[in-house]
Amino acid sequence: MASAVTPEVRAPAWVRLLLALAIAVPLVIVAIMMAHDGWLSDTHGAFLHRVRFALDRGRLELLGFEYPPLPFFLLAPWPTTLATIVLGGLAVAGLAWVVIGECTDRRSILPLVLLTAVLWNPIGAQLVVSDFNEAVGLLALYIGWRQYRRWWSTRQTVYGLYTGLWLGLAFYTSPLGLALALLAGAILPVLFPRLQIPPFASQFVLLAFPGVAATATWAYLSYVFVGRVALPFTPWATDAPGLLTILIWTVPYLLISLLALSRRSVTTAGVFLPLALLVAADWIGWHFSLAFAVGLLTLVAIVALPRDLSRLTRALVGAVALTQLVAAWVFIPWPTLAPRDHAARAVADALESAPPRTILLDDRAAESLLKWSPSVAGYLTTRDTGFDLAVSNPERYVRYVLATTTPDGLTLDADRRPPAGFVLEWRWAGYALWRHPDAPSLPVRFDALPDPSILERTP
Amino acid sequence: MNSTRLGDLLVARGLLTPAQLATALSQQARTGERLGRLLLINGFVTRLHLARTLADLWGHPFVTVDARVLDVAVASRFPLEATMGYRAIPLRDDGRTLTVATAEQPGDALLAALAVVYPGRDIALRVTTEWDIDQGIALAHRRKVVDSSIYGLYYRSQAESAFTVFTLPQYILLVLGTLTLLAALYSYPLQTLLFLNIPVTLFFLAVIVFRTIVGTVGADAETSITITEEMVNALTPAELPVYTVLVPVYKERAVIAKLIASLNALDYPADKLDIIILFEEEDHDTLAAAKAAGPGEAFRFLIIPEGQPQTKPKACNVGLLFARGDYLVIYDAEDRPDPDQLKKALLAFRHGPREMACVQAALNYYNWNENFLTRMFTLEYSFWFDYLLPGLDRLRLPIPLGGTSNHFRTDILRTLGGWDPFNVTEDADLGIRAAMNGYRVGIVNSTTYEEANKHLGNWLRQRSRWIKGYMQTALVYLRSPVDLYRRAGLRQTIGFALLIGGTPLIFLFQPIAVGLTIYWLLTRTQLLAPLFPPILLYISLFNLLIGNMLAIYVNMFAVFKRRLHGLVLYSLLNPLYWLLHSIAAYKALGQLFTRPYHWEKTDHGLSRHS
Repeated sequence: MASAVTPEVRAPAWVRLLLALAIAVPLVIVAIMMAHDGWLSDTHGAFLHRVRFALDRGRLELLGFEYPPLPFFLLAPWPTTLATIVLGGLAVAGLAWVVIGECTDRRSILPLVLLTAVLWNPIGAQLVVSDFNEAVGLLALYIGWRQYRRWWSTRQTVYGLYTGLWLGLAFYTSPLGLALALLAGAILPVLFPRLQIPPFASQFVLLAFPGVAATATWAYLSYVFVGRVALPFTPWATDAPGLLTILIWTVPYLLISLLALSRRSVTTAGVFLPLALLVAADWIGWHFSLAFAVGLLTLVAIVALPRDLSRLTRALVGAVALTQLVAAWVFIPWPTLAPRDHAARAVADALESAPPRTILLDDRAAESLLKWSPSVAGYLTTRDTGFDLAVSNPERYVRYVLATTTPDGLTLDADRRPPAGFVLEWRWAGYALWRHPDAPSLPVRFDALPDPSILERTP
Repeated sequence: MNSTRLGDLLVARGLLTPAQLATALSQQARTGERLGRLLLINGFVTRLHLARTLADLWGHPFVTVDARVLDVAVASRFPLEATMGYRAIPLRDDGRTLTVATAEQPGDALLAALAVVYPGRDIALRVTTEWDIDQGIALAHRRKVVDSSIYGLYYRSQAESAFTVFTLPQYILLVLGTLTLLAALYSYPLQTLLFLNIPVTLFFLAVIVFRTIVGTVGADAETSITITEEMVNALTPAELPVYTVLVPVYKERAVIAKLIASLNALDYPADKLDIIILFEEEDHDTLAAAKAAGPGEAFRFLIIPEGQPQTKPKACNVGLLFARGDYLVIYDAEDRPDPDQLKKALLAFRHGPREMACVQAALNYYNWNENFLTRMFTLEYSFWFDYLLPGLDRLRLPIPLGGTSNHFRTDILRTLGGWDPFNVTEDADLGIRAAMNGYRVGIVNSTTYEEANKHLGNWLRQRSRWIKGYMQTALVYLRSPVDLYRRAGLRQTIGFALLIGGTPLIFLFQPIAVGLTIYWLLTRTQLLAPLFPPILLYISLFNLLIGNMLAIYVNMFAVFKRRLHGLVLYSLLNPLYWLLHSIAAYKALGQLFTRPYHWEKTDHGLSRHS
């Protein structure tokens, strides 16, 4: 919003676009280089193999109902590693676009410096390199939050509508969308101390409805397709960074929060709410990455940045942000592939040549392998209708059995009681490939492995 | 005529006080209006006294026009348009002398016009009142008034009239389509149902996407206020044109007094107002109640000659014939418009493009919290008038006018042929016709409050009429889709098809979709699986879940904007309310074949707020 005393000056759209792309493109280049070297995050791998399953079988319900579904839908037209990078790059460019708008509103470059400092390092780069879904979520949350602020500053209901829609979209990337909507609704009386019950209640409903409705929608869909109610609250991240870690990497946020609080406005206390939200989310089990936490709090800091800072203070904040940028380069390592990933990729490539539905596999215990599979056509899995039949009589229905070692899967049987009529091809990290004698071997390129001994070839 | 002489004469006769004359002259200096009209509007003199005084001034006798003095055969020879234009009507003709009554100072133009129709006659002039002229027209031109109000549009453009419900090609298509469908269902039931399901599902999707986009764009219209209070306050009386207000009433005895009070509350100079209340010939009760309410001199009562169809648009066409205003607005009997609505509409015209034919004010309900039905109705109207219509306006799509508070440029309205009396949503039809003829329909940020239906039967009657009217309008303009496309362009054609054609279709299909969903939920049967291959199933689920969710959500904001906080949660009940629409839609479909022009009368005055 333009201030009351200064006319709104916006950079031309093409300048904003160029700047936004300039922020995002280096991250995209880094991600492409890493992908070229073989890097694929577990999260992106999980997105891709689920989408490939759904597309190959022609059944969207195979995406599963336990996870926020937006990344699946975004990848459906183009389920490749490059697509994950492009989507991450676009989301980051979108963030930069909005923050550039903030810069022109404030006539200060500081917001862009803060954003760049948090993105252009091994932490922020994860939003493109490892989890584009979090970048999309941050974008939706940020826009939703900005619309929310516009709503209560202009009182025009259309901004409330946009708030709800953006937070609703954010919910499809992370349950934090719903949490933030509830939070935004809950603090309305803080923003409007004289707010009466009816308007408060209706505004609360308006903010919460998209997330609640999306949850109900997803629950209904799961009931339709799998016969039980599932909620999309399972986070993609397996754990979250500790509070101390988050605080160490968000010093500019802390500094700006203190500066905001020194203005003694009751609304500035809201700057700590997202931090509390992150702590609570982790406690509930809605995990997130360090990149997401740092990104979210930096965006909050940008919004909360006092407009009356002296040049010296602005320079100080900028310097802290740049220092943090350098520190991240020094202390945070770039992700690298583990040896097991190399092996999994070689195996997945080898299995690629199997005819459709000829490899019996318990996919519930094979995420690390499926992540690397260019296609899932060859597998007959728990998601396929013939799976149970094939388990009961593999010799009749499949040519290969890829056993895993989890105690509750197919593996146990295959390991202790080898499938009748099959011969063991190799063992690796708990996996074992059994081949029907009539089926051709699926040769693994052992020469591509850094350590070929990781795969135990059987005679 | 000299105003001072008229005023002086009235004062001299003791019919007017000097102070009243001074007031009227002062008003005349500000507004430029004629003194006689100002004296009438202020209630300083009676119409009869004024006319008698004018008769003396002009040097002609006074006459009261009625059936005894008027020879219908003579009067009807003088064209209706000339009678209206000169405000003069021939009374008798003995072959040598033609007696003519006039309400305006007679001039050479009138005499020349009379000489053309009645050559070689001496003219004997008489002076009378405006009301007497209207009375004379009603007597002499009854047939023509009825004909032009009923068949005016049909004669002008058969293609745009709903007189023909189905054209021959449409009938053939309907019969062939039905027979083919039945044959296919008999021979290949599953494949046929699947084949039917595809376009229905895709159509649902298209309508959902369309309405969401239009609604969201309409919501954004809030950020640009069109007409501000400052602009309204800056208007001076002198620059205001005469504004005609048409109010067709039928069996509205219960609300007519409040209507007159609402119209009297309009913030518009009374001398620039031409309020015409249109009564059906048989409706003596309402007429009596209106007279008892003591309307001011700005009001005129017109009796609509009997003739079928007896519909609101027919009455409006008669009103249009008699309208004096440069602008014209329609209100219903129970309407309570914002007082400054006429001024806002006028400004909207001035700030709009030249081709702006009409501006529509928002409608909402004053009895919104009376029961479930009024609450749901208010939710619906809040979305329709506050979000959907502004969205259509912004996207330059055809706007179906809402039943009342449509403000027109009178000349363009006449060019368009007025309302179609055979179309039971003549307002929606007129909005579309304007768009198809290259005119624009705009939106003005003013509200008219109406009475929401609180009785289900009454609601169903009204709603089935509306849906039937949409069906009629769709049939009219889809007689030649190619012509529609050529005239209106692709965007307008799609907008028309999705809104006017789509609304009844959605309501007709909806119970089937809901029924199938409930049946599946109860039985989890596999019987339906062949009808829903994966892609179709996903689209259907999107329609069911996301479509409903979006519609409900946008609706929540529409009432929130109106500060009707108590209705936000009621929006969740919209799916039930939409099922009521489906009942009305099937009733409308039946009537389309059996009683296409039948006007389902909506009873007013049932609300405790009335």
